[in-house]
Amino acid sequence: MVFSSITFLFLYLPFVLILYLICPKRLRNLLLLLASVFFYAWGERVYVWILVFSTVFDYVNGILIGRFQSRGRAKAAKAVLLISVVGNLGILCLFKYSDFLLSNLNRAGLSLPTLGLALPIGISFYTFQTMSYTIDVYRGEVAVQKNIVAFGTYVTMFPQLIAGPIVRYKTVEQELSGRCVSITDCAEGVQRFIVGLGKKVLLANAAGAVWEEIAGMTGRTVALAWLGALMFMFQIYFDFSGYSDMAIGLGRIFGFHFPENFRYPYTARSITDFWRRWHITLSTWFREYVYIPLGGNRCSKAKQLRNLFVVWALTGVWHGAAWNFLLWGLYFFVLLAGEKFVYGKRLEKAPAPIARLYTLLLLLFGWVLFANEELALVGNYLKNMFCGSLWSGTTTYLLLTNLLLLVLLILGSTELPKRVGEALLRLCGGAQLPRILLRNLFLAAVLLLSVAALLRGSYNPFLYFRF
Amino acid sequence: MEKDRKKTEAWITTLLFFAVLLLGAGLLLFAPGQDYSELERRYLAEKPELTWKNVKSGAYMEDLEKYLCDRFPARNALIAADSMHLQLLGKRDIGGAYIGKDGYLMTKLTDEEVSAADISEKLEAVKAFTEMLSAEGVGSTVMLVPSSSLQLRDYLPAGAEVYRQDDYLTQAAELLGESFLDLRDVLTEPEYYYRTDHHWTTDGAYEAYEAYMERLSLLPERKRRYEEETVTESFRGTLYAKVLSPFCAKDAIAAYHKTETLTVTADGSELPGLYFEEKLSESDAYAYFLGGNYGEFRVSGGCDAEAEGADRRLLIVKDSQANCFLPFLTGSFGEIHMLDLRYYQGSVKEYLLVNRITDVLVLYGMDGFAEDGNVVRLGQGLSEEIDPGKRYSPRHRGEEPFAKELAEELRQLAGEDYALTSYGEQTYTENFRNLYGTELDPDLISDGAIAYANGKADEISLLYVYDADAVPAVKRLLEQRVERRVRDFSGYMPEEVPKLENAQVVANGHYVLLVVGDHAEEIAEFFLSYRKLRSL
Repeated sequence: MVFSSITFLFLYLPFVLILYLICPKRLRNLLLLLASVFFYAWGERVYVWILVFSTVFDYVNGILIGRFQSRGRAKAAKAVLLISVVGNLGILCLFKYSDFLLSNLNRAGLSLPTLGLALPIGISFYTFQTMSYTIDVYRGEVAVQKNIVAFGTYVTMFPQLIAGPIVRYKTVEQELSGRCVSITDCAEGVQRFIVGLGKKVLLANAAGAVWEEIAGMTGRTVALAWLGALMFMFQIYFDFSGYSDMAIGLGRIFGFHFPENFRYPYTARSITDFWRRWHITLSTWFREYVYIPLGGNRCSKAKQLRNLFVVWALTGVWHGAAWNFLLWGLYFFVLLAGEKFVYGKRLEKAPAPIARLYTLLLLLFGWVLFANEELALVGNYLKNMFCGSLWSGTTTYLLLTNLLLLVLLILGSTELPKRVGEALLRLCGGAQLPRILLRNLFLAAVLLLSVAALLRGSYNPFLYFRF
Repeated sequence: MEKDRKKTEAWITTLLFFAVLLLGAGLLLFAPGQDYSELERRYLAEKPELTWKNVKSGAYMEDLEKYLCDRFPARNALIAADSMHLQLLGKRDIGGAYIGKDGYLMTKLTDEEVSAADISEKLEAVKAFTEMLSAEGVGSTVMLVPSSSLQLRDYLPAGAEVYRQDDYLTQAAELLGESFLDLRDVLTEPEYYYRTDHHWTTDGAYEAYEAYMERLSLLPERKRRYEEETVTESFRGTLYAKVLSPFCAKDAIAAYHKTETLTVTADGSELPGLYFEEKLSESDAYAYFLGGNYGEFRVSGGCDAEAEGADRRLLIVKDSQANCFLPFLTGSFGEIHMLDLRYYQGSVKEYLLVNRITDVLVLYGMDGFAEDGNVVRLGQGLSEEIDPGKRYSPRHRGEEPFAKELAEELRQLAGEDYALTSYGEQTYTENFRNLYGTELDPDLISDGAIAYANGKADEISLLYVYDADAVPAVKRLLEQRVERRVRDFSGYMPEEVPKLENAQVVANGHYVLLVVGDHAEEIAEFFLSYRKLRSL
């Protein structure tokens, strides 16, 4: 099931919310667990058992690690940790990377049959979550969760199950056993959810439709190539951050506080800064469980480079089993290494507009690489951006009819709307009615326009579904 | 205080959200829904069946979403809001229509959607057709009505892309030569096109009528001889149905009446006249002209016996553009026939020979011509030898009997355990006599199929009557069959009799259906709504 659908908004969600309200507190986790498995099975009927297996597997592993550690059997505990990591990565590799590996081996001369396995939805998210649990139990940073319902709730919670944020167990450890939802939390959750829905349906889908149209052209002018790349850049941001907003908002309504996943990434002043603002939970995960264990930046320069290389290669392929994703990750490795060891200081001293332009341009090219799985298409598109006819009738048409959208997309990527909103609310001063009207009319408008766009049902993809 | 204020505000937001969700859910689940959206001119999605197979394949989930979207409360208002928001955002094409200047909507059709090879194929078919006509001594004219996206191209939004209509029309002119009547110089004013509909206005049709009459060296009737009536000023047509924005204009439809007594038939049934006032209050007010599109349409009686065209019979092979054009012609021809190839599946050559047509007009909107796949049929079957004296039917033409297909569909709808036997082959005449008695000439029934269940009264009998006039007689025949069956079953299986008493005998076009069974009414309804039958 997807959040941006009528089935979710007007059947599943009201039903689950009502049940959750009337449910006695001690059964709430169970309710959430069952509802989440249902939510998952709605979209993934075949592989729902992998989700269940993964949950039970790491639940048992957590208990075993705890037991061995409390009996001083360090080696046994380590062995279980290894089993957990290998098991999780094994499942992930099997379903996600096996065909990529096989087809590349075939290209090298072998002729092995490909497995043709479909990618289970959200597998990259939930396997990373369960791994974070067993590793943190081993490290002693969290207590073993003996209640399988509570653990299952952590893994399967529908707000973050399918597309993140990647929530580490320690973040919600307390809230699993006892949470109280204040009404302000709830309202903030509602607001967050609606804003996320609007970002996805009204902004991301609109940008995406233009990108698809331009991407589908056999030839495109230079201006259109740039416009298309820009539109993809905005689509992926609003799509993914919108979904994270919805996840965080829904989590709040149920009493969970998920970490932020995006902090206005397109206002970054360097690529390093960008990755502190984009898909924050993923970079945090890689930092905690790969970069730091490898030595992080507390070792020789050569080793630091190696660590960076590993993390970014992995980040790249985490996004998809194809060469362009790997190259995308390595592209950032090169840039980040450059910023870290070569020109980082000079970049910091540069005026903000230059730094931002540098960042945005490099990001734009990165997104072109990310958007096309066939490398030949990437090359072709980049060529379009620099050679060929500059303008055409269609260029005028697409630019004119999307100008306002583009402005909204640019403004929406900054803190400006938030500041304007807060300023307007402050303007109302002590008067409650204007504040209430302002906030709720805005939210109602976003909600209804989003529903209207969904009803039309034309273009509503979800980009991060292959993860 | 601040905290309390925040709490109150939080309560309001939360409760409003819950209220919207619950209201939406409640109305979705419990409010009665429609089957057909007048506004969008389409059937709305049906409730998907909850079967294991559907769930497993995921079809249930997809269909459920479509179903919920289609029956969402206030759907029309919300879609209008969406269109408004898109227009305000600067979008100039919604749903496949461009939003041009002065409120003119135009069909968005690009070069990617129109294949040059396809157009050439169709034009070649039309050419072959006109050549066959001249060999048969029948006059022919071809009119391809250019759409507003060509004639009013200055009204298009800046840079908007449309297909090479001008080039294709020039290609047609070159290929068809004498037969082609180029309307590009005729339809030069905006008032010849509607703002919200893809058809030409009645005024535009009149200009084409004058040009056509001139071509045939006949005298056109002057406009002032008609009684002009603005039948509606709130027409919002097919292009509006794509955009659905409340900002769209409203069109006026003009009709030019004259006093005449006409005989009008469409697909075998008689129509009260050429104009249908009741359609004006529906979404598709253009159906005011002729009531819609039919496979076969005939009109006669408007031409005086001594007038020039009294012995001329015109055949128009058309799409819906011809509907507002036809009324101008009724005084100039003894008989006017119209065939719409989307609904008429038979041979055009056969039709025109059997009906002794003297003039043929091929009239299509250029956009429709580009999109309609049926046009190529004009170039098929041209070398067939047709004897106008002989009756032709699917069986005689050697075509696959359609009755078997349809009966199969009906049988599956019934879901009963039937055995299907088709009578489209040699055994037909013999079995026909056995089953239906000998009162009717089996040659009048040129195709048929029967499905029956052993030991029970359940039956699906489908007959194709070649001569539409004989349909009532065939119905009577089937009713008599039911009476005989009642007598048969009363004796040895009286529990089947109620089923027989509820038997449905209905006709659709040339097809007559008898159905006996638990789902008889459902099947009869489905059969009656099966459009294709109207022209077979």
